[in-house]
This record gives sequence, C-alpha cells and structure tokens, in this order.
Amino acid sequence: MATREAGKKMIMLKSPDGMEFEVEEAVAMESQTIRKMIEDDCADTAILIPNINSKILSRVIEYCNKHVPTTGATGAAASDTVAPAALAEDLKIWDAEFIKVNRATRFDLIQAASYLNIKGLLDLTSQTTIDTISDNSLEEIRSFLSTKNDYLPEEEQTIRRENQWAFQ
Amino acid sequence: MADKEAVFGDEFMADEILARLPARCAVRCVVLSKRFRQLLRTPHFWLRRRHLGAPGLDLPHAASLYKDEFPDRTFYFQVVGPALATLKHTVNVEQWWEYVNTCNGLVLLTVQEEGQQSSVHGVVFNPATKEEVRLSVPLPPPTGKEGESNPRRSFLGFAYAPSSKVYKALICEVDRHDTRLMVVSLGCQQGPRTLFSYDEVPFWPQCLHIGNGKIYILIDNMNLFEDYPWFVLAFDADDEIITRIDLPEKESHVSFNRMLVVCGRPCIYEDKGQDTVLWLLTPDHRWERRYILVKQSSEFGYCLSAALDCGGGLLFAKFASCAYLYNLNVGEAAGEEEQGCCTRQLVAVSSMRIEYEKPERFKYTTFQRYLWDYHPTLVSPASIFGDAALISGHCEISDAAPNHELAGTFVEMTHKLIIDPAMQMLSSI
Repeated sequence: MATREAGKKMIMLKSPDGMEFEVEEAVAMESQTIRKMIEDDCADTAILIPNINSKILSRVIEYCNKHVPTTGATGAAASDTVAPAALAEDLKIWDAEFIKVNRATRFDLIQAASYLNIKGLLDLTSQTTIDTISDNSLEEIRSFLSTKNDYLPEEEQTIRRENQWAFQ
Repeated sequence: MADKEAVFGDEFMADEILARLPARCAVRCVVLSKRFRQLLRTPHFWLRRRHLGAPGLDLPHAASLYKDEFPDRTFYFQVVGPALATLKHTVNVEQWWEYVNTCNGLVLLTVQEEGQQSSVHGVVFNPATKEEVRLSVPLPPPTGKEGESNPRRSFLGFAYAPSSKVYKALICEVDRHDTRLMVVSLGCQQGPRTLFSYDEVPFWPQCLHIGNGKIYILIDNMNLFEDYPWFVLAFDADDEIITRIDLPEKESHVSFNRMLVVCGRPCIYEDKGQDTVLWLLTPDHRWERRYILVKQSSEFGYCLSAALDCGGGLLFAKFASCAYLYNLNVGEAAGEEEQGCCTRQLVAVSSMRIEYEKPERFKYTTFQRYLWDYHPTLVSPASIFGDAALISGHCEISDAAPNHELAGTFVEMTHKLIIDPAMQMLSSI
C-alpha cells in the first residue's frame, strides 16, 4: 500500500482533479479521517480525497507538514537547540501567515479541515473567521453563513425583545 | 454558494463558527433564522461553546440573586458589569423558597416547607430569556410509623447528564437525625432512587455546578457545637455516582462556610485572620492548598464576602469593606511542594476601601447570593423535561412585575460593592 523512502513510510493522496501528492504517513495521519482509513487498512495504493481540489489539498498538506509532531531522533535534536515555548511561538507566527488567505479559500479550508478531521486546522480557520468579523456584526455573520432571514419583522422584534440584554 | 450550503449544514456552522463567538454575540444569533434559533436553544450548543473555551460575558461581571421577603416574596436575579446592559429577571414565589443551583444557564429554586409533602416543588427559570417552568416531583410516602416521621424534602441540586441528555435532580430528605439523598431523572416516569444516606443533618447545603455534568455540594451540619466533619459531595449526573470528599484539615477554628469557583474549579477557603487560604479541588477529588491571600488591612478576621474572576489571572476579593486585587500568577512560593502543587502567597496588587453605605432597609440583612457558576444560555427551561416537552410544550414568559425601585437598588448595590471597586483597581494597575 505505501512506498518506502529513506526509512519513512509514504502515502499517496489524490485530489478529484487528478493531482497526486506523496506525503509521509505521519503527516497524512494528522487527519483523523485518513488515520482511520490507514488503521482500518482501507488505504490502497492511493487515497482519493473527494470534494477537495488540488489547490486546497496542497495547502492542507503544507499545514500538516508543519504541525506533525517531531519525534524520535529529529525531535530530540530539535529540542536540544530550541525551547518548546519558542517552538510553539514559531508555530503561531507560521499559522498567522498561513491563514492570510481570502474568504473563499478560508471557507474551502474549513470544509477540508472538517472533512479530513484535522482539529488544529479547523480551530485555526474557524477562529480566524470569527476574529475577522468586525465587532461580531450580525450582518457579516449572516452573509458568511449565507443564511436567509425567515422571520416576519414582528417575529424578529419579539425575539429581540425577549433577549433584549444581548442587543443593547 | 449553493453547493457549500449542502456541505456545511446549519448544525456544522453552529458547532464550528457560532460556538466560538462571545456569549452575548452568540445570543444575538437567534435572529439569523428560525433554524439557528432552534440550534442555539439546545444544551448541546452551549456545552460545545464551553468545550471550545469560547469567551463568556465581559469580565468583570457579577451574577447575583437577591431575595425580598416583604411585602412580596420575590427573587431578583441580575448580572451586572461595566460594559454590560444589566441582565435582570424577577420570580414571584409563595411560601419559603431557597436558591439551589444553576446549570446550563438555568436557575433552580426549591420550596422549603415543613410538614408532610407528597411532592417536591421547584421553579426553573432562564434569566436570559425570561422563561420559567414549575417543577414538581412526586415522592413515595416517608417510611416509618405514621405521625412519627415527618421529613423535610427539597431539591439539593440539579445537573445535566451529557451522554444521556437528561437533567437529573438531587432531592434531600431530612428526618430528625437522618439525611437521605435521592436522584430523579426529570421528564421520566421512574421514581427517585436513593443514593446516599448519613446520620447527620445538613444545615445550609450549598451546590455548585462547574460544567461537565458534575455538581459539588458543600454539606454543613446542624450541630454547631460539636466538631462534626463537614464534607463535599461530588455528584456525576452521567453515572449517578456520588463521592464523599472530606475537607482538608482546618488550620484554625474558623469554618469552611462557602464554595467559590476559582480558575474554573470548586474552591473552599479558610479565613485565618490576616490570611485567607484557598483550597482548590482537583478533577480527581484532592484538595490543593493553592493560594494564600494576604490582607493588608487592620480589619482583622473579616471573612471573604466576595471573590470575582477579572480575567487574566486577576482575582477580586472583598473582605467586609476592603477590596483587594490579587494576581494568581505572581506570588512567592510558601512552603514545600506537595503532590505537584505549591502554595503561593499572594500580596494584593491593589487595594481600596469601599465607601458605600447600604440603604437603611438592607443594612443588617443579608439575603444575597453570588452565582459564581452562572453562564447565560438560551436553553429553554422546558427542556429539563426532555426533548419531547421542548417541542410540544412551551414555557411561560415570566410576567412577574418587579418592584422597580427594589430592582434598581439591588443593581446599584452590586455596582457599588463589587463592580465599581473592581474596575477602579483594574484601571490602577
């Protein structure tokens, strides 16, 4: 199922638009969905990732590459030179840079993170969404969720009155 | 956008996006659409917020309950903060009622009556939506000979069991020298089940709900002259296990008389004159002697009357008419480390005298309670009877007419005693 390269188990991920990405198994397993496939031995020569195009998939892999915990020999070497707190700080800066994308891409990343079940990426993308909604404006939330208001004006007034403390 | 909507159901959006909003903004999302209002009314949504660590109400704020016995019996609930339009609610009751606890943004009051009772009565209200329901649990007649046994029965606490999605109430039955604790699942036909009994009589039990389906009850007891051990009972609503946690050995003769929430954990404290020792409960039910608050005032021996989380590790504490601000993250280690915990001796970063005279009428009465564990939600009180009741039945919107003068006085008292001093000290550091 997986090829070997320099002692590391590799795995192939395929996007629906036909692109293939060879990644380390440990990196792919940042996704709980893929981890489950591998553990259940459902992963054949390549894993097809539906709904996620190659542009988004490559960004997801980039995220996983950065966030895969360094273990064993490389991990020991890293912690010899850099303190864990500094490493976390470095990761934070990297995340902030990574998430500087337009709204459509962020939306796609949320979807990908949700499907692939990558908690860190989902937290990052969702939290960034909340943080970029200025003053938590209801209109912006409504447009981001593309929700239609199905209240009659008087119904909405009643609901606002019931929760008046939150609207003041 | 059409295909995206298909992938992202409203549930997903509520769980992943809206659940990260600060509390007040999350509440405002009820006007997005009818479907979102439905989702925002479920305990699931508010538990999810908690799990994600979403911000609550702006800090500092104080939730408190004032009781007026005369001329009417009325409870005044309020949340007061500097940046917060006051959240207020009023409940009219008959007879003698007591506050029990708060869970998922719902507040339970219980009737305290003497004499034969075939049921236990309570009121559950959500101050954030002003809805309330009456709660009544039928009980089997007391055991023992007729005329001899006349137990007093009341609610002792209630909690939400996340795995079974059922609210459970603890009922306390006190009969002379015996106390029995029973649990009942609300909205079920099944009668109450006895969990625990002991041969002491609780005096002022106090119940705290920290989340994750657990409540903690501090059991004080009636015999003030003998040194009975007091204890805390931890009740897990999911598996209905009740654990007795003995209190740490006292270092003075002053009793542990209240529970607070500090750092999101149950906390008891011991006033030792110049110092107050805070003990925090660990998830595995050990007491950690965590902080020593040093008072710098000459007012010796006054007990802690309020403690408030101001965010960023800052704790506001009030002893009689002196208020202090402590930084929980900065303090000198006092003594040896024990089981991975080290006691920190904290000197206040700021302190001040509170120059406020309570109105004449309330000078010598204290009937006020701080609800450390209150977090606003949109959960319907009818949901305590299960999902079916939530769909079919609806709650009354309370139309209790508050005495506006009293309500205003209570809000002012919380401002003058807690919020204003806290704000003044926060701005000075």
